[in-house]
Amino acid sequence: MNVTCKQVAELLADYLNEELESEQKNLLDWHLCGCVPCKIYLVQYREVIITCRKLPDAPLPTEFSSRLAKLLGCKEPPPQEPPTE
Amino acid sequence: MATTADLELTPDRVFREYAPRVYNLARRMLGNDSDAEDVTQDVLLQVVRKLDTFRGEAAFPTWLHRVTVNAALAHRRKRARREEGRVADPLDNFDNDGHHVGHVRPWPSNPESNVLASEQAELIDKTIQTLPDIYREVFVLADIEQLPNSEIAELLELSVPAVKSRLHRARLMMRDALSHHFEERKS
Repeated sequence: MNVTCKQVAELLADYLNEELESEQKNLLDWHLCGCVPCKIYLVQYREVIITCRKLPDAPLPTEFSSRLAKLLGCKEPPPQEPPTE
Repeated sequence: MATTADLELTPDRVFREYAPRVYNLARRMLGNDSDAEDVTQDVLLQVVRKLDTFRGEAAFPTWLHRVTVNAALAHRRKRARREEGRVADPLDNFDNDGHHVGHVRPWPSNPESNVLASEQAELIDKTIQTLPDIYREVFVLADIEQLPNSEIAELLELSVPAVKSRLHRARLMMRDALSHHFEERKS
């Protein structure tokens, strides 16, 4: 029995989380060995997860930052720079 | 070693250290700047009023995170339903035989570098904003905020399988949207 590219896409989360039954995992491994588009698709799916984990916080918009500082009774100037990694 | 003074929470410190975090979490969950500003303002005013309660409290960031998530969810529930652009179902990109429709091309650069370029971060943030509400909030809580599925299920009043299903769909939508972006930039 074979799995299709669509079935691979449907099962990617379980595959990466190692939550598939061994028979199903073997079928996906076999498919991924021979299907370049699915291999790329898997890499990109994983990149979405990895990249979003280190997404930095943007600084507050300047106008909002000033307004918020005033509301909170802050003396210090509002932060302007995004935090560095 | 941190002194008591270091740990003391003042309005200045809350603003300087926590306002960007609260704002970005709210913005990502709600998908727009104006709603995020409302939530940030409400949350931080609430925090500053209760500062005495948290003096030297190590659990403050966790508490603040929870308060922000709840405030963002409450804000979304009460706001008028936004007109959302239709996002194509990622599983429609396969033909009747289950094959990919069109080419699946590698992305031009590897986003797995240690520091995310600001242009790339901005692109990802914009792409997150295009996700429909029900997918975006699960995606943000799971893949950005790193909450376990069980906690997300509790927050959103969903079953764990429903969280997993929405998260998977959201990631597929993100992959598709980023692929379209790179294809357009190439042409």
